[in-house]
Amino acid sequence: MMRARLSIAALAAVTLAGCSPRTAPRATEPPARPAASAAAPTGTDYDPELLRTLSILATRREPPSDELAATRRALASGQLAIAGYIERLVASKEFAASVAPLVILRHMLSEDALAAPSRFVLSRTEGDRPIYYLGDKPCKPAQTVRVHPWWDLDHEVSICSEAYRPAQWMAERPKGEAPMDCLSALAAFQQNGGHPCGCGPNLIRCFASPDQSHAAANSLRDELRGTVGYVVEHDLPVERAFTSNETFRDRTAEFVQRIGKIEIEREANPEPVLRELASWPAEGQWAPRPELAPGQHAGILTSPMMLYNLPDRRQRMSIIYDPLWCAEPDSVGATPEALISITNGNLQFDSAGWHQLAAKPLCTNCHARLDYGMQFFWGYPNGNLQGFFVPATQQKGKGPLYVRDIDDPRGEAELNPHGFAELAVAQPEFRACMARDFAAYALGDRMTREQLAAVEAEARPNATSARALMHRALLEVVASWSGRPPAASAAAAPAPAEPGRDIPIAPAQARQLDAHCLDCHDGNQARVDLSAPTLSRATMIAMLADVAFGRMPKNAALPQAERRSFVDAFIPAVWSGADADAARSYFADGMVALPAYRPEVVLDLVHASGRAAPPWRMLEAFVRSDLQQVTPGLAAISSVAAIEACHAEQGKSQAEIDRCIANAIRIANLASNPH
Amino acid sequence: MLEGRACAASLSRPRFYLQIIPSGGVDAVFGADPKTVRDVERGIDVPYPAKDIVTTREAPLGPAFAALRPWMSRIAIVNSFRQNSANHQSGLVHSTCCRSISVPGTPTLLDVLGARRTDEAVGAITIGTAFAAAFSPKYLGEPTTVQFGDRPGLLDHLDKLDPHELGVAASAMRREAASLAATSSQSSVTASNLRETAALFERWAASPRFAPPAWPFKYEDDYKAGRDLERALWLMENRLARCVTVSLTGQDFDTHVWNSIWQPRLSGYLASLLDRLFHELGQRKVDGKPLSEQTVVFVGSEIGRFPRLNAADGKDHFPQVSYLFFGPWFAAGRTYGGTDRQMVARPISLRTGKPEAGGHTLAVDDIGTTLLRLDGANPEVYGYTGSHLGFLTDS
Repeated sequence: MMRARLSIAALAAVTLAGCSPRTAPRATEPPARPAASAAAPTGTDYDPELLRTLSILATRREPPSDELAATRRALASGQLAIAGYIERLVASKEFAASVAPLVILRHMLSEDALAAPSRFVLSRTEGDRPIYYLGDKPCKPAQTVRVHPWWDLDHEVSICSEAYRPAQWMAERPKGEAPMDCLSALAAFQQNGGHPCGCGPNLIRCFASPDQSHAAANSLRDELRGTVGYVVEHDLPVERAFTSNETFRDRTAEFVQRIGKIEIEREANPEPVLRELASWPAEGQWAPRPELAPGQHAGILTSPMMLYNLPDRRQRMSIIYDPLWCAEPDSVGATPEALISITNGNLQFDSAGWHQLAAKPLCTNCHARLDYGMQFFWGYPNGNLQGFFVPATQQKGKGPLYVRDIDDPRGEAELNPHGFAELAVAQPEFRACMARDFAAYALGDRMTREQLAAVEAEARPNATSARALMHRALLEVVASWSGRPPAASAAAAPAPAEPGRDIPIAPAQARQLDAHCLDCHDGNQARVDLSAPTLSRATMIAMLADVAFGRMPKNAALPQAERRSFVDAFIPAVWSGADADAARSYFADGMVALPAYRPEVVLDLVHASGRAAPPWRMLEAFVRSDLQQVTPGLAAISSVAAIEACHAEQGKSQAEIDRCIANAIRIANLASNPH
Repeated sequence: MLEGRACAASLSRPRFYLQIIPSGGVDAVFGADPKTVRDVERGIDVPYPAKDIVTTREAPLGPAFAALRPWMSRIAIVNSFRQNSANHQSGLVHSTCCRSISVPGTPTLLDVLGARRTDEAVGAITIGTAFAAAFSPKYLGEPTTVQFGDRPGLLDHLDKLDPHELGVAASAMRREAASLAATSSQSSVTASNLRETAALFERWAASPRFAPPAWPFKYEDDYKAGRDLERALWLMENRLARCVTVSLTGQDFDTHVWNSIWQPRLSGYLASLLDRLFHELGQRKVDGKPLSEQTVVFVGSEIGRFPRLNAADGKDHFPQVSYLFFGPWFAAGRTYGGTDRQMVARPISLRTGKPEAGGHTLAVDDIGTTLLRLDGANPEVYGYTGSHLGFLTDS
């Protein structure tokens, strides 16, 4: 099923033996920057730190030093070209299995969903004949029943009859409240007045322990990881990960799939269906998903972790658009007056008045995308009330899709998830997002617009190769290795304006505005006009903050070096002396540290012994790749992980542990380019 | 009126800052902005009778804030700041930056204030945040378990480590910091971050173990917010951090469903936590002075709640938030600002803080500007151009 693993050492050996790469490099070789030592006549002697970085970025592992040395020699002798080396790296199993899913899905791989899997976790009494129960207290033995649980169909367990309830499917909320199914995020936590739910037939809604629940969540995350991994390993268009009926699922993920059908069909005896799972490969397989209505499935978009990450349809769309178009929630400009004027105050769960929201100024910037998008997924109700597909609710006919706002329609498709997905991945925003993901992962905040454009040029409509994107991104790393940000030009600094006075725009500043701002801010009455000969102090300070921290230029934040040049040009016009120094430190430096590997990669490097890092609860894994940097937090996590990793091997003396810690804490394990 | 409080101008700048974010969005009508049915338009939800409003000598409180009655002479309430967003993520960025136009990656207000510390190990630590939007270039901390997983976070890991090995790690970080050539601001910032983290490890190793007493409140077992506030106190007492942000309750204040059930419970829990916190600040000392004399505490959600109920007996999002301020710098014992019959904030006089036609519309930027000035900084050089709330600091 999976292709045989080809290690990096083997790749180097194959290349040294004179074999050419499996496929020719897609990218043009960039000009190499030789190390200071003499280069071989026909090759290039690359900085070993660069080669190490390329390998880590592409495989999430520290390359052995002999492998690195062999690669370096091959490159120096001309037997191996850098593009060929990178081609081999991105063809590796590690890239498909560990790196590409991380690049595309980012935080989704470590996130818990609010409504999947089921929130019911049983407690049990101690002893040889435990009693399973829900709630605070167990029942008496006389109040139990014997049931074959889904996790062990050949044996019976005792469970309180109140926690079983095999014929109850609805939570039955008080009159006036929305109906709630037992398989839903809220059923396990419903408030007074509702009808309590049980585990259902074969206890399908319950887990025997928190560990079993956590394992199921891992399986659902593995469905995301495995699906992208399968697509990349087979060099299929990455679009397939979002559109295919099939996903890569292990047995538990398949069990979760099947529960939904059992719930909608109110299947009183699901045991035969559950028994079929025994033949499902425990490690998972690429397999189709049955459809209860046409177009029900769309790659990872209809995996439980995506569908039920958040409790309602609209929030679900914000989850879906993140990996799909790199669109993030933004409701800047919302005012109390604007919201209170929306007559239907039933916005979140009923999504009533959505047409109004989707067209309302400001609101439209998100809600045209969210609210028209959620019509395609209507067959999947709000997860807080119903955690499975309901075919009768799926909409009929075709519907439109919008990107930026209500004035940006992008065509129509059948109103189902598959229709949505096919239309969504055909948009240029999809290719731009994939390119940004790979470029940002490899280049961090040093990514320039030109580099991003070069990576994006590798994307093909409905034929985007993750390997090609990564290949180009790594070539850009090579081309920019050791490159220094250009120093700001030493133009004569204008004298700062007096507080309260408007600030005249000097020629150097006008050039910056012309280059980066005036496309949009040139006399457009809907926006701040930056083309005027003077700007107010407040406008200039707001502009500095917007540019310094990447809010502007909109959707095209400047790379660090250009941001610095921009703000350096304006600061002397606003402040002098210590204030100018403080402003420069804040706006130009921005407290920004060196770009870092993603934290998942950092933990892999620290735990290089092969033992997996213990699970962490951390914010850093939820942060975009272009914001990853050596923060105090990442430095602390890396150092703590180093201490823990050095304790993982038994029998070390304290002196050996101390040496191990000191060796494991390295800036090279944090910063993707420490120079 | 200003009993127990010296003039702000005669006080030294705050030593510590504690920002508390009741995560998900507090419904102000239950606490900071109580109303009667007569005060509001039809359809605006006032889910308690007028007799339940808590009267104090200083200002009325919503029924859920009854536990704060003893502290009213030392609290200032401001209704309501616009935070320029109707979603949690951008609302959180605006709230932590105290700037109504900001994006993830912008230094938070507490990052800026933390960089102005005297001898605390690190500038700012963040506990319990619910969204990645809280990430900033100086981020250090651990998020909530909701969606981030019920696994140990950084602070949990640090608690378990051997002090000697923390020292070894600190030495290694200092070595690596020294190895970084100061060729760019990013290199310099990185070296500084490594030294800052090394200082944290060293001081953590020298500090008494974190052994928080239980806070005996209903819901404490569910949320452990008392434990997180104990952590904040411990960090300040041991001079580990100048600034701490604590986000409370995961995201359970986000009551799109069953608002009338959950908000009173959670706001009541919040009030009990603050009651205990303010008491503890008076008991704990740093350099011989109670923390209550050295600490600014400010409390506000990342988003507010829509004034009308939805069909699920819940309330959706609303882009304005009430704040509580505690500390000797504030003109306490009063409620400032106000909301109209639709519970939309009214403009105020910057001199009195009272509603005034044509006056100033409060925004979170004003909090940033005011606290930076309190700290002796020029807010403008950090991009803060909000209004200084002179009525709040009596200056």
